Amino acid sequence: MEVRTIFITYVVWLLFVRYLAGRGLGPFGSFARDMSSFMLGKGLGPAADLMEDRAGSGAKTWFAHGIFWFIIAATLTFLNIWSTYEPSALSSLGAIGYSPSAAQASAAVHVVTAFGALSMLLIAAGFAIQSGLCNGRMANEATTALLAFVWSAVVAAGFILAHTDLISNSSWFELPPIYYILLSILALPLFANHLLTMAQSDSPIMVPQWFIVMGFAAFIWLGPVAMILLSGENHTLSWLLVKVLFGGWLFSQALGIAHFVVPSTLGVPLWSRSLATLALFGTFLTFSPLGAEAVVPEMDTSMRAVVSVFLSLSLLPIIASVVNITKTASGRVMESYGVKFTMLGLILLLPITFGSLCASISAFGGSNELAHIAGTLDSLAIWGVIGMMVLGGIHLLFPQVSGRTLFSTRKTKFAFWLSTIGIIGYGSSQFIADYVNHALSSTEVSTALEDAGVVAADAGGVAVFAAMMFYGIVLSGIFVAQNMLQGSFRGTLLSDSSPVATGALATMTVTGSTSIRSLLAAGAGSDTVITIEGNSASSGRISIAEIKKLVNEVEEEVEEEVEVEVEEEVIEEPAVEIPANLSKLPKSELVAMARAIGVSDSGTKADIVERLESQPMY
Amino acid sequence: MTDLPEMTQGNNEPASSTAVWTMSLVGVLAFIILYGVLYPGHPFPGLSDVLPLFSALGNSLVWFFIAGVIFGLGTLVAILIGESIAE
Repeated sequence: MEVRTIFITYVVWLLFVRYLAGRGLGPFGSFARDMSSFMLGKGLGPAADLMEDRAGSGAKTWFAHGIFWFIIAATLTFLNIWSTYEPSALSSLGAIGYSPSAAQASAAVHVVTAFGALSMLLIAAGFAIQSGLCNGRMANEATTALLAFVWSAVVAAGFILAHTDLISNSSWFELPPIYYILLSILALPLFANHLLTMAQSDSPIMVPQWFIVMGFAAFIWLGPVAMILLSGENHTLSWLLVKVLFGGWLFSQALGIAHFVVPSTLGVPLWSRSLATLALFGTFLTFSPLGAEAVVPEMDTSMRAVVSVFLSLSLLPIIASVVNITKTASGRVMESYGVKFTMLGLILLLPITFGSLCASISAFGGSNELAHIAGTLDSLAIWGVIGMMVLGGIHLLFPQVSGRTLFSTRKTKFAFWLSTIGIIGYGSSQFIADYVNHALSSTEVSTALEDAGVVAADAGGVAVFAAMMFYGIVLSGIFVAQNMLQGSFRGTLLSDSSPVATGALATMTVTGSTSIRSLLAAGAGSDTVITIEGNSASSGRISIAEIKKLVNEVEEEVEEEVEVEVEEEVIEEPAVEIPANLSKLPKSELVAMARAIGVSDSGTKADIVERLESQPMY
Repeated sequence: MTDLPEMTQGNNEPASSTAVWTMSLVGVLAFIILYGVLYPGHPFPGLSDVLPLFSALGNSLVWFFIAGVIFGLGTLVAILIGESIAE
């Protein structure tokens, strides 16, 4: 099958998903909803009961797994950068059988980073955004949480696979196609969960939701298409898979987060609707320049021209996103670290995109003149752009799903500065190392140096500095993980209905009659709020007008309570004023005054005066 | 005209963690400079030079960084266990 045809299937599939999601599962109707609900719930049998079906539990589990992989992926990347300076740094691990080749180490890094750290955190953020924009929860939380464990296991398997002979000298993304199929199969129930949640909600679908759903569609498309690689090596198809992985999946999800985090944190609407729409369609219908390492050795000129146009057109949605979100956050970036992280990613996006665009165009059938910086550009796209947006999403969305604030603002601040200094320091020094090494490796330079009898120092010192700078990202990941973990236990509760750590359910809905024993057996605790359903004609969905009416009633109740409290405070004020010259008053008045303020009235007049004078109100 | 006090003195102090971080960074920098002056041209001592227990790991400095990551992961496990027990 030609690559052109494969790309058309990609576009048709995305348009189909757009149609399906826009009409609440459209032609499939209630049958599809019931089937999906069943498959996500009871269809799993006892496995569905392993996890808690509480609002936010799915996203929280994905966040927990994702941040773990984030630390592992950042550490592996750091070691990979260090190894370019000192290849034998980890040679002692050969004693326990760990001695990967450069290609294997690179494959392991990319698999853990792309499918573990970034994918899991992006999925977690997607669930948090989706539940925030729909009914406050996903259609199914328990299965979603359970799948996080399975996904982690698949990532671990990919890490092991990357160290086998399957990756000898091939590129990192040339994993066995079965691996992509497995990930696609795992993504299917997550995708169905998103569709179901949107179908069950009356709210209009927002731009971040479209990014999330369409991104899932792109990711699922990768699996079946990877099967075609079984028929033999196909550079063009591999190139297309990498572009869809970077642009259609990772970058689109990151843009979904950015389009949600900034407006919702600052409490302002997105600046432009048309720019958001352009960003949405442009992201999926063009070739992303990110993923610059992918190479197609030979290609005819006409195809090169078409691909170059599609690559260049991708600048439009990227510039639209940057302008739209920057205008939305205009003047208020410093209000939140979630916004700061996101804006850092967006600021880095433009230069990295331009660099990746040049590298990608020359790598698609050209002479690949920028191959020496393509790896650095990809690392910066992964950690500088997508990674920063993911960290921004964590700082806003994790408290929403855990019900508690992050533990320490100081740790957040520290993580932000470590990331900022780390990524900028790494990028600038790694580019220097890349260019120096590239210049020294050219025939002309080496011949000239040899003729002059000069031995040039390589860029090893700069490379090790780049690695040390990148260590800031590792530390940042550890601080964010600590903040999340401590926050989920000790952070300030965001509301009374927030999830509690005791394990009891926060709310429970009961239909018909039941016993206390049944409630306790179902997980209710002493603080669980029980809602009785079944006798009300208005049970189920609620209109905006009804919500407004309820809000007004609640506001009136709150005002009444405040008034009552004020009155009580007035009553509590001391009714008795103690005059200045007590000794001139008769003893009977002094006794009455002592009784009124609650001190002893026994003894002589002088004793009573002494007691009254010792009172604080005197 | 406002009378200024003889000396303007606030009561705020930096957090202990900030002080520890700053002193650690200055200490490391001082060590690097001192080592470069005393042993010019010599590579920095690796983890195995400092702690003979880890002699099998070799002389690479990367092990200091790996030790930092392991310590960080250790704190995460400690927090998890500690908070679970506290609950």
